[in-house]
Amino acid sequence: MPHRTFLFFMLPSAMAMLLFIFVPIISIIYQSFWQPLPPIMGEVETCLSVLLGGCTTSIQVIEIPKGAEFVGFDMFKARSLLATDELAAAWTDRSSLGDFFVNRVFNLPLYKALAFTLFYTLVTTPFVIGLGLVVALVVDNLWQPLKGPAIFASLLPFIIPPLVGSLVLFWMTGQGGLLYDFLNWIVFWEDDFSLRASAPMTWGLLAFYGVWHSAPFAFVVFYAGLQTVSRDQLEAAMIDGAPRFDRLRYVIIPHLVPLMTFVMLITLMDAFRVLEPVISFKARAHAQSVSTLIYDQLVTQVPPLYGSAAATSLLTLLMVGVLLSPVLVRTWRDFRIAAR
Amino acid sequence: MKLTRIALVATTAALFGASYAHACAVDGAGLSILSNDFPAVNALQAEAAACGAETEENAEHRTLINDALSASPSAYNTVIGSNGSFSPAHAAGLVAAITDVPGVAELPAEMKIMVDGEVMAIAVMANSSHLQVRQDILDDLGLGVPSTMAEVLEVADAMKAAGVMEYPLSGMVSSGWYLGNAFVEMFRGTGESLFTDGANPNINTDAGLETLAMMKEMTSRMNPDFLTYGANEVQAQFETGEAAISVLWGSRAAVVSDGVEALGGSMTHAAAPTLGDGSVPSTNLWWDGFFFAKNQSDEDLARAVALAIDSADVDMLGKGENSAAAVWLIPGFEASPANAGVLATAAGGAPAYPMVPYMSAMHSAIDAEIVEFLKGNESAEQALADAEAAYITAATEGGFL
Repeated sequence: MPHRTFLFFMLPSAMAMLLFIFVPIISIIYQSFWQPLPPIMGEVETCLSVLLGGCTTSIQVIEIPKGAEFVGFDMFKARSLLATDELAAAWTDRSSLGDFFVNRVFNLPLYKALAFTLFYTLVTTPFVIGLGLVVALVVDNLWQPLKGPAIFASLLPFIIPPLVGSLVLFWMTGQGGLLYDFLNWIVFWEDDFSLRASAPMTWGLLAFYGVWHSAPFAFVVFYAGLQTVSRDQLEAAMIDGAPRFDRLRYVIIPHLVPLMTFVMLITLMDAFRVLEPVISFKARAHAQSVSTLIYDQLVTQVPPLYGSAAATSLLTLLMVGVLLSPVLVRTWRDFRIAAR
Repeated sequence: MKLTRIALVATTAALFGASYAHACAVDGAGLSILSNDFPAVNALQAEAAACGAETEENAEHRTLINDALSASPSAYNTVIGSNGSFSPAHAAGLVAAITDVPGVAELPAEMKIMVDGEVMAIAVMANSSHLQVRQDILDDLGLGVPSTMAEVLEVADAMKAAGVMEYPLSGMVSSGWYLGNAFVEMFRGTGESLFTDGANPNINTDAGLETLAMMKEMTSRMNPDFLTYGANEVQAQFETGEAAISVLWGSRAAVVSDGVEALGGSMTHAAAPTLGDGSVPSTNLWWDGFFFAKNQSDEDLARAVALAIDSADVDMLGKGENSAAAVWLIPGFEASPANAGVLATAAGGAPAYPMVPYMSAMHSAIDAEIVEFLKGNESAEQALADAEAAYITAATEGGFL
């Protein structure tokens, strides 16, 4: 394709990217470095009826100045994010390295959230790819009339809205719930064991939900890929006497590798932004994710802390970038080799 | 969602408009009202809708108010909110003073919310959490209605020992807003203020430790799933006979009573218990009521106020179940037995939920940081120090410190 045609062909999507990706990123960069001027406070008397508690005097906002000031990296250094001062203080009066990490670092919001987010991302991604591949292979080898319904059924977890899917699973974990009874039956817990009160069980359940929800995406991509495997190559392998497993290992899997890279990229990005299951499972006591921090800053806090939220978003972007870099570098190298 | 609601309300208004028409002293056409979504508020909104106003009932209204009122002209003329949602809107300078608007001067003192000498809101109902307990079980065991937190623990232990229930004590302590609220309520029982010297935190104190110690005593007697229990879950536990004593919203009292009666039991609704040597009920009082957007014309403001006053009157109380839906501050309201808890709590001198713009930062800091203590991973001192540090970070960003 001539460059000119390509350029015009790409123009609409490039414009859309600029509008929907680039502009918001510029906006969060601005919001994380510039803060609205602080309001002017003063003493004000508030009066309710005697029944409601009568009059009280408190410090209230009297005037809101217009404009914004440059605050540098203050948002990023604050306790709610990187907490540099708190970390330095904790390092100087640490009693041991274990104490430093367990009691001090993971007591800070961002690091606590990162621990769960990374766990969730790194555990769900391989399982999503593995399970997606297995389901795709099974469905591909099904008897033809069964394929349609099987594909539909396998896609269901992906179609169900995340909030609904996780709520259904959450209700099963309560005492007397299906999942609770089943697990209880397997491991013979004492009667007052609470699945919901145990942090490891909550983490496991959230990861289980993540795999259940995202595996159909991997499945549908791999299933499409399986339709393009060259029949000639498979037949050649069969004539050479390759058993089923070897055909899978040396023909089918290599054919699917680029798709696996694609699924891995998308799943890593998606998993890093985990939000809905943490909220539906009411799991905030045991699991905070980077996205729940942003949710808190924007929704729980009134007025919203736009500055912190923007800074947290920017950090999320950077961290996703770091997480994806090995995959991206590899893809780029493959592309260079292919181009040569 | 919004469109369907508007369409529904408009249809309802069109259907019932004729029958209500005689009661409409104010033309509501062109006015719009944003509110929470629960029966008492729905009753007020139905009145306004019948007079031609556009109404939006939205359980997430709290997150919409400031953005909606910042528009010029404001997206809504009127908001039906509470202590919690009024303060941020007022702090942002978005609420109109209505002292001089016709009709306001004639309102009874109970309904006026004054800030700095100006009437800023019209309160129409009071709510609080308070003690709700199964009277039939107390009678069976020969126990009295507890009035202090320590007595609540004793009653819960006695019920458990008698084998009445596995976990007789329940509470609204779900991690998130409810947990922060539970701390704030318990803390108010000490008589201390959450803030000192302006907006500085005052919770890493003996009062804070006493609060956390009692919360630990309470939660250790609850079902181990307690960190996922909000008002809906506690109500359901009463209705299925899995809970017998709890501090629960007054707005749930009537429903809980009905549910327990269906089980063959009976409920008593009493003031929220006091803490330690304290004398005030450990809870917050809430008011719900009307406040008005600053960004609107004087004519619209006058009509919006008149419509609000006209909606919240004796006529409304007389319709259907409206009177039983809340503890109304409207003259002519007659309390029912289910209202006894809120009224006793107010009479006991419980304070109002703090109406300061930095309260949200305090509330979120507490709910995020005390959970490690309740799970047993952290000392009470550490949890309170963390909560203060988190509050200071948020309040500094908001410009309040």
